[in-house]
Amino acid sequence: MNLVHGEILDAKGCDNVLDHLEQDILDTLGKKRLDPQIVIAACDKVLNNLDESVYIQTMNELGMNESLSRSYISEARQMFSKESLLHRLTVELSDDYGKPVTFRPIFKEFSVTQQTVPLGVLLHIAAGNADGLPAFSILEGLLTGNINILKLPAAEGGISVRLLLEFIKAEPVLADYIYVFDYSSRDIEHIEKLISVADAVVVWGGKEAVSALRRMIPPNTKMIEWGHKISFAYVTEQAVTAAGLEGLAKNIVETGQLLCSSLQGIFLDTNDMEKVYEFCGQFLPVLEAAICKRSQDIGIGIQSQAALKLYAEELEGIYSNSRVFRGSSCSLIAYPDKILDTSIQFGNAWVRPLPRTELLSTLRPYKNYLQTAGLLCGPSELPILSDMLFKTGVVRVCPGENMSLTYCGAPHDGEYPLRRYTKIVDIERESE
Amino acid sequence: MSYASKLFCHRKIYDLENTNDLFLHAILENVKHHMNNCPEYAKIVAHCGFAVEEVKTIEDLYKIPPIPTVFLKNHTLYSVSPKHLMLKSTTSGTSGKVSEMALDWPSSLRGIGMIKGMFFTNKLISPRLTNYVVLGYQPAKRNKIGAVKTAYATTYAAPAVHRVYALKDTGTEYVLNIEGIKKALIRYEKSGLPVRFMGFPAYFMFLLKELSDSGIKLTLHPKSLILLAGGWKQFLAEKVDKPTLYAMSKEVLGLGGDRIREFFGAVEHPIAYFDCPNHHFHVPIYSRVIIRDVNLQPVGYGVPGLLNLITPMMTSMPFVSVMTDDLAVLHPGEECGCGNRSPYFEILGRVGLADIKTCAANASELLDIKKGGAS
Repeated sequence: MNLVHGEILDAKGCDNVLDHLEQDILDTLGKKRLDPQIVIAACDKVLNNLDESVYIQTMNELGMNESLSRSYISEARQMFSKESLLHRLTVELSDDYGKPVTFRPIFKEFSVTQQTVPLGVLLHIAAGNADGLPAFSILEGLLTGNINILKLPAAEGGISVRLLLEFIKAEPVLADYIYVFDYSSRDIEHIEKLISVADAVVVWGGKEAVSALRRMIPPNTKMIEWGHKISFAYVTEQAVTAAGLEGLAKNIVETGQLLCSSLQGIFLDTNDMEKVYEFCGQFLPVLEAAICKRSQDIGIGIQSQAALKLYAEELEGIYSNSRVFRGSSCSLIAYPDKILDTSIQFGNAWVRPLPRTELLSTLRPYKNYLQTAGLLCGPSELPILSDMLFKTGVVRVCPGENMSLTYCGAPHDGEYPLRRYTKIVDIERESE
Repeated sequence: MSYASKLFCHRKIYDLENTNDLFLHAILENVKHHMNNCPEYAKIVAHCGFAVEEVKTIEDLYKIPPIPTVFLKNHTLYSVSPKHLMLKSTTSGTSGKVSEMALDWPSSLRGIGMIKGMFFTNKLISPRLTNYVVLGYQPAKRNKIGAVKTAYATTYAAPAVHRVYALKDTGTEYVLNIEGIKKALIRYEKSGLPVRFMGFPAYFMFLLKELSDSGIKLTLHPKSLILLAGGWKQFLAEKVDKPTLYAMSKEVLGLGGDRIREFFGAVEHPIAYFDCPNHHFHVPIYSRVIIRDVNLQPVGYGVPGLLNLITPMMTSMPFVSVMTDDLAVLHPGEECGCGNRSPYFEILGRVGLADIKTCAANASELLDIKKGGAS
């Protein structure tokens, strides 16, 4: 689906738009800057008029049951509330966002006025890994006053365009700041055209998507990557508590281990495989109990794939010395090696020994992929272990159950998104 | 004579009922052979807690641990010494990794027995002079892909006058030879001899489109045949359904669905399954098909699950019971209506979801690091 100036267009209509895109953008840039208050007001109106049943039904079609859908919606309500958005602007861009700040630089005889302004035009290359995420990326671009062009991912179910249309309906002035194109990722000609009008390209996705765009984006065009990441848990001996384990199981079950922040596996602070096996024996029933309460329906294709991978992994044990602990619809695989990898997912996690003395050297090679560590340790161990994890490249440390929960003002992969979508300009004046 | 050799000489190739005992004995003989000659296979079955004595009737076949094809892509297992290996094949490797398969003398003889049985029963052997269009690679010594050999071998089922290849060997590389095929087809039409097409459904579809775009419409000899290999995977990717393909073929070549035969096979399970007039794959006496649920337990007719294929054909490699990464469903033969009472299976597609939504860094991204390379 294509959306330009608040209207849905077909492919031919898009071609016409593309012919005038540059002039179109100049016209919008020539107008008064977009005030974040308008965007906040639009969000507010959309939330007030939100027909939850439509979104619940769409999520239902994606395999989520009603209670999970409702919890997502309530999470979204918090995230897009006026309070949250204002708070983000203040935290990420400072109290003076948008206001000029004048001062006299030390050792100099002139005064400067600095101001945070939008980058200009953002091209968002969205990934299909979370429905509605493309719309969220646009919202961040709007909040910082940018004109936003969105290239939809192939598997987008239509949630994004529906949401954006509601924004435009709420505040029609936003129509000039939102372009959505449904070009295929292979349509290089059109994508290059879109890149040519952008100040920055925001790329969501895996290594392949990012590499492909790196080849297409000219050197001086800013590229803002939100690449795929991997997360895990680190557990010390004194922290193996019922509540801690339930938290880990909760993350595994609720996210299906599909998110950047999802737990793929658990490192134990030990070098003793017996302790790893013991942990598996203790954790498996906890995981099994959580799986029983799973609120998402997993299709037969996915279940069979997981079953097949698990079985193959079981046979691999002949070579790798791994040991599979099977539960009902879940499993833990104990490996003696010290590597980080993606799990079988959907309730199947790995467990590996990793004494704290080897934490840095083992995980450092993965530095650019690390995101969240669910850390289960004693209060006195927290400062030293979290600092060590940060040195490996991890950017977030939290209890297991909160690994995939966010909060207002949280950095994303170690950065404030709004700051990445703005720049600081300055004007110099001779001192009076 | 071994049980398996007897089985592969049997000529009533869909008479499962009367060959159950023979099949069971052949399987047991084959499992024992591999356990005795392939230490890794012995380890695998021991790891699964299996003992041959557990298999007492044909109903117990499911107890033999199936080896997943994904596992075979990581490990090449042999039950004979390399000097006994003759034909080597690999999978086409669409997913990156390839499986290797090689036949020794006894396996090859059984293969020939099976091909004979299959071709005669399915009336594919013809004494008529025939022209061939091979929608694939021209055979060359350096090419080991199984499908190439299968396609070439089938050009012996009827005496060949001429063969034309979609991918022509120039001696150093392969070039796409669409123009050559077009010219040959026009010539074949004039010659009035039957034509046989061999290849993957997607390639055949591509050829039909090319011919149609060039405005070429032919009426080939009515005894012509189109043999499509490789099952439905390509169809799923191309989103082409069978009726569309049949209709296009009728229009462009003058050959409708009744002249199109499909066969299905896998490198790890080299049994050829030919479709019946209703385009169903009935299980021949050379194999048995078990569908398994997510706990790997066998399920009955009509229930979708993992496809487990069992055959005693191979002595060279322990592919006695393999589990593919296909989802399939088994139907009783009577449901087909073609008169063949042997059960038939239907492939529903690969396991997993193509558009699975995840932002967790995947295995291939992390693999380079695991190997010690730079990220």
